[in-house]
Amino acid sequence: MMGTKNFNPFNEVASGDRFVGREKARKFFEQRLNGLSAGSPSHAIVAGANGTGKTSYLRRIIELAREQGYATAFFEPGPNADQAATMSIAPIIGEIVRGVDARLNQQKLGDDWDLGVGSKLFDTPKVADPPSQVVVRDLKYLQERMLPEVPGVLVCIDEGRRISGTALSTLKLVLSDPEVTRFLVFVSHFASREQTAVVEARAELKERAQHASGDQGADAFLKGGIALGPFESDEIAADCIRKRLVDNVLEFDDDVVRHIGRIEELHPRQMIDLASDVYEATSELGAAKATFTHLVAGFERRHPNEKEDSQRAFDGLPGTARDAVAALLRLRRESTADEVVEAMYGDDAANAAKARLASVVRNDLELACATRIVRRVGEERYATSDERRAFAFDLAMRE
Amino acid sequence: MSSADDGQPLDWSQRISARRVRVPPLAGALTYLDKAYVQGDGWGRIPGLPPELHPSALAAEAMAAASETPPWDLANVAMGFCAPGRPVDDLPLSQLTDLLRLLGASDEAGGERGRRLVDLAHARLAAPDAGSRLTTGTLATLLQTLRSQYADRESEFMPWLDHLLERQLDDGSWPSGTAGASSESATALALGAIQGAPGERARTASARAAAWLEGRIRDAGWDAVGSTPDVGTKSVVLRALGASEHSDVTVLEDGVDWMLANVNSDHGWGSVVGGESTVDATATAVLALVAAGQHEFVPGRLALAAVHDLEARVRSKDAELSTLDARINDEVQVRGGRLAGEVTRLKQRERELQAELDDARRSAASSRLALDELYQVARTSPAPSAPLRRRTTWTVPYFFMAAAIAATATSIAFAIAGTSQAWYWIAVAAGGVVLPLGASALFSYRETTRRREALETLSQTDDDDFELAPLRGRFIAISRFWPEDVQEYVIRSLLSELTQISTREVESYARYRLERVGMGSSDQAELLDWTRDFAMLSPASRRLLTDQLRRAQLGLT
Repeated sequence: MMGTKNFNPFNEVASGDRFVGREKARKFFEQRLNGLSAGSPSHAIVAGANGTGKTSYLRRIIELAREQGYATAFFEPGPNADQAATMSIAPIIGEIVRGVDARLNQQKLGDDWDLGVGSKLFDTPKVADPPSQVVVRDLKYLQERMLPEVPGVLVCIDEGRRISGTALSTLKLVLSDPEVTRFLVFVSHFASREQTAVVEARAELKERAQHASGDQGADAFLKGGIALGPFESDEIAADCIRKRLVDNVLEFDDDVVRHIGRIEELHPRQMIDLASDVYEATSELGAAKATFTHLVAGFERRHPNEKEDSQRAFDGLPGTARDAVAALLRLRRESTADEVVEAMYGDDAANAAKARLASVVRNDLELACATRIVRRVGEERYATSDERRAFAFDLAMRE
Repeated sequence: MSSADDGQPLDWSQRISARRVRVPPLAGALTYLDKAYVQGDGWGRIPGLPPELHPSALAAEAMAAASETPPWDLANVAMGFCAPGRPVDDLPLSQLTDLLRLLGASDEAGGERGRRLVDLAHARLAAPDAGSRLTTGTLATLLQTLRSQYADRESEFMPWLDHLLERQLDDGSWPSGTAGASSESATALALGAIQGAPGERARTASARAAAWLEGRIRDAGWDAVGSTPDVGTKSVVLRALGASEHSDVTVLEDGVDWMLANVNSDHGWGSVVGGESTVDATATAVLALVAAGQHEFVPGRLALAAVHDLEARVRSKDAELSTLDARINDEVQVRGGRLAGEVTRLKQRERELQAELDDARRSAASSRLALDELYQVARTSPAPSAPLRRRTTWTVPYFFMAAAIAATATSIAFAIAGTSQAWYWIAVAAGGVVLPLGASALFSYRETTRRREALETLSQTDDDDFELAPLRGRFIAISRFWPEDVQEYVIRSLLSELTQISTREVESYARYRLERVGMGSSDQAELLDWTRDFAMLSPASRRLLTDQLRRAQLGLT
């Protein structure tokens, strides 16, 4: 059914209600929340590459915590996310105060906090490096004020790279205090590789704290971590696209949604970006539903380099090599030349001929490796370099 | 054996074609392709594999290009790739091109099936964004196939040829897409597509593309084309340069050497050096060698005979040319001579006209000088003795004569009557003074009368001179009652001067003269009116008329 929203939903910032999948990450959070309710919080780090959904995840767990009666505090990096790490501890405490206020439907704590040195309830000075004992005293005071009505506070800090080393060190000291038990902290942090994301992020935090204050283990308070990467499945990735299109005047063909997930290898941000270009292309062509044609138009807009690489490979490769690459694309896995030949002919050719062709295909795939469409992944094993180039090459084959 | 018995020149290409001997490697390659053919089905990638469209299209095109008669059932082979279950409409454009090549090689290009495929290609190109999505290679291969095998429909695809030309980069190469880095394959395929296309733009683009490819080969050698082991790219480049009129024979020979040095023992070529031979690579290599002119030998004796015959023909043509040259030279000489004469005559005429012009200028200058002198004379010369303000009547002579007679008669009467002596002397004195005067006046009168009569006589002279007579008569009528000195002044001075100056100066000079001497206005008006007509006379006539008047005025009839 046609919706009413006529703007590009893929240009909107991330929000919790569009969060899909990530079951493992959700369970991870639920366990941590249970620990908070029991008075033994286990702070965590959320690591992943750009666009893997860290912010959406934090927004989602904030919503989940609120639903269960917890107070919440959320730090966003603001417009200058790339600037040097300057976030100090005081603003974080201030945000916690306001979160508790919001949960208790009042403003007096926040108003008092805003008085600064004139505050009657809080002692934490608004300086870059306040004494941890003072901060501990203020947090304990907050615990007293909110219990038992509020079981705890979930504190989410997006873009942990922006927290200063001294703030990290102070945070560690404060949260390590045995009497501060009603605060659960989740810090998101960039990491380049999914497999080692948490380790990578933790190491960076530690180094920063050590460099700033000589603290040897500032990361220690972050007991666990969760790494975010591509979506778990095609279906979840498709849900990510469809959720944004709810109530929109424009629809996406199921095949298009599936292709977007595949082209971007289920990477959330990249999927959103490609979907945005497909949406624009569809809108410009005046269609009500994005089809494969619009997908191609959006793809060419988003990935001109991959298109050029693929066209170059298509023009430069002999016919057998093109078909071998096409077979490798169909296989969608690392394969040997024999497997590629098998995919090309199956039972339609004699084994002797196939064996001879395998040597041809091996040579052809070696030629294709020079075009960046195919890569050698081991001794006589080949795979397509990435899904974008694979899709672009497939487009060239279709023409 | 320079010509046949009937006098017609021998068709050496036909005779050579009939006796041609293939270059061994190429003959082997064609044998390889021939063996790989599956009767009625086409070619597989390698012998023993099921036939497929792309190797079949390349092999058929290669056999046709090498003047090898392709299998008779190629059209059926082509149709086998279209049906069943694989509608032509769904084929990618690259495969549609392969079908067109296959049909083209089977002499079915002009048939209904060929036309339908061309229509389909046309429609496919007209699809939105087709221009941006097609690779340069796909577009170029299609255009090359259409131009070579479906030439009657070439004009339909000219916009796409333009589109291909628009993709050419500044350095003469082509990218694989609408933009991007240079590609050897794309450049070679595009060069093949535009080869021989109409228009200066295509010709220039072709030369630039050939120069770009040759530049790379000269810099790095044929090994570096594509990649070191890559055979296919080298074949495509050699084919394009071989077909180009702009290519360098040394570069071509090196390319041919490279190809022949890397042929496999089964007479085929692989996609890489030393790799298993494939139909694709072998057919592409054959197309390259044919384009480079390395596909067949000619028997030596036949070649020698052909060369001798051609030499004889060339000599004959040279002789014809010499004759023609001579005739042309003769014709040029004759026509040139006429032209030269005409030019000389015109130059002579020009010189004459120039001389006349110079004379006229000199004459005008001298007239100007004469006029200036005349004006100077007019300003300084004395006026006639009496002002000419009114008409003078001739009463004085009669008065003096009457007075003289009266005085004489009186003195005689006084003498007879014996009147006083005083009166006597008075009468004598009067008679002594008056008589000479009277005599003089009488003489003058007679002289005047004589001159007037001479003028009257002149005015009545009928000398059949219709030009001078009226003017003469008018002048005499006008000057009839002028005093003699005025008349003499006008005829002797004024008219004489007027004969020396140009026509357009006559009247103004006459006016100046008459005003200066104070001639009465009515006389002046009449005389000026006469002067206008006088000025119309030629200088000779003016002199003649003046002379006549002058003679008459002196009484010389």
